[in-house]
Formats: sequence, structure tokens, C-alpha cells
Amino acid sequence: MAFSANDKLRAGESRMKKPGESKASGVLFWEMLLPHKHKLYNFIQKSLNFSEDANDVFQETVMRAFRYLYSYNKDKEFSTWLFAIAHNEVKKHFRKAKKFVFVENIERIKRGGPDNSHELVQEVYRFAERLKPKHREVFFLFYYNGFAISEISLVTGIKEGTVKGLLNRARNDLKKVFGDPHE
Amino acid sequence: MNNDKDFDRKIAELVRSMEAEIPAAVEERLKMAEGAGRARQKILGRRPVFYLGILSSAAAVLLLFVFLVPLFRGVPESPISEIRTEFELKDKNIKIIFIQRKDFNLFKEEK
Repeated sequence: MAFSANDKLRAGESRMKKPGESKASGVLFWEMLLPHKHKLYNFIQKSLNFSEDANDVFQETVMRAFRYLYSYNKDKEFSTWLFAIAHNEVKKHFRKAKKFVFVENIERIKRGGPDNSHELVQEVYRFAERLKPKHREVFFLFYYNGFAISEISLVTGIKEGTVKGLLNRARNDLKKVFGDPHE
Repeated sequence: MNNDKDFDRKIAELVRSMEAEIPAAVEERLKMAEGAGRARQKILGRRPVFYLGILSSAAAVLLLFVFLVPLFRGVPESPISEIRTEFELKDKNIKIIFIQRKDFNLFKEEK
């Protein structure tokens, strides 16, 4: 019977050890990261409007998570802990950048999905690009990563009611863009 | 409510249809960082034993130094070679002289 990294972790203590305290915790981290790596990378890319800096932010997020693994409580979801670190790194990036530079990066994105939906996809990403960084994160955590409102609240530290409100506003704005067939 | 769920599903589909692959260079950098992290772990894991060895060696060297250096130097010669104590009982015309030398042994009977 094979055990996942999370199973191994749950069998141990409630908190991870510092990298120096246990060799196993370090190895375990890369195993735990594996199923989230792709989603994490794309979340950062999308939150940063596919900026070139996204690669650095992604690397910093992973290394920070590795360094502070001991602070992860195994009773909580690894993904929310990991994405909370990513959220902090994204926030740090925008704080450093100070000015928000609007760059049309959408055209650089690889074409995905069926061809007839490409225009719609671009429309959604253009909409997200115009959102405030924090709101954009909420948007992608919900629509891309599939996090529940309570999880988004944990990741971003925004109250659940505010998350709900932000998503409602985004939904209504998008409906205007696409034209809601039910309206 | 259902309309919202359908709409959300549609938007999620559109958002998820576009995904970027992690560039090989980024993966490479992560692998390097991972390797460096593991090497750091090994060093950190070894650290208590490593420091214990160093500390015990240092203590041994210090002890040797403390005990051996005076031996090599030799005990310095005291400028006082003899202590004399004289008592004179004038009325009996007696003079008592105590001579204390450094080679005088209290517990050894003189032959």
C-alpha cells in the first residue's frame, strides 16, 4: 500500500520539524509540493498578469515554503498554507513595484482550449488584468484553483463576506461583458 | 442561484483552458535550490556531532597546553633560598636558630 506525502505527514507530529531537525521533512516537502506545483505556478503567473517576474516570485514562494515548513500545521490543508505564502509573495511583489504597470500580456499566453473559445478566454483574462491585484488573486483562487470562499479567506486574510462580495461583483461585471443569457 | 453556478462553471472552464507550463529554466533553478537545500540539511543535520567533535578537540588541546607548558618552562627558582628564625634568651645565654630550607622535608627523618 502506497502512502502519500500527506499521509506520512499526518502519521507524524502535528507540526513539521525544521529542515535541520529532520532530513525526512525536507524530502517530504518536495513530495507534498508536487501535486500543487503546476497550479501554484499558474496562480502566480495569472496574479501577476503573466509578468516576467512571475518566475522569480514562484521560486521565492517555493523556497520560502521549504524554509518555513516547520510552521505548517498538518491539521490544516497544505494547499491553503502554500497559497497563503504565494499570496504574501505576490503582495510583496506589488509593494516593491509600487506603481502598477498595466501591460498587455494576454497575447503572450499560449493558446489553450478549443479555438472557438479563444476570444472568450482572452476576454476573461483582459477583465482579470484590469482588476486590482488583491481582487485578481481572489478571482483566480476561485475560478482557476477552485478554492472555496472559506479557503480564499484563509489564504488571503480577507473576510469571507468581502470575498463573496468581490466574487459577486466580478460575476456581475463579467455577465455584462458576455451578456447573461438568463437576464 | 443555479444560473450563477452555471456561469461560474463556464468562467472556470475558460480560465482553466489557458495554462502556462513551468519553464525548464525555472524547474532547473528549483532543482538546484532543492539540491542546495538538501545539502544544507545534511550540514545542519551533521552540525551537533560536528560541533561536539570540534569542542572536545579544543578542550583537549587547551588542557594539554595548561598542563604541559609549565613543565617545559620548568619551575622558576625562588629568590629566597633560606629562612632563618633566631631566638635569643639573654638571661640564660641561649640562642635558638631555626633554618628553613626548601629541601627540608617535614615527614622524612634525617639520617
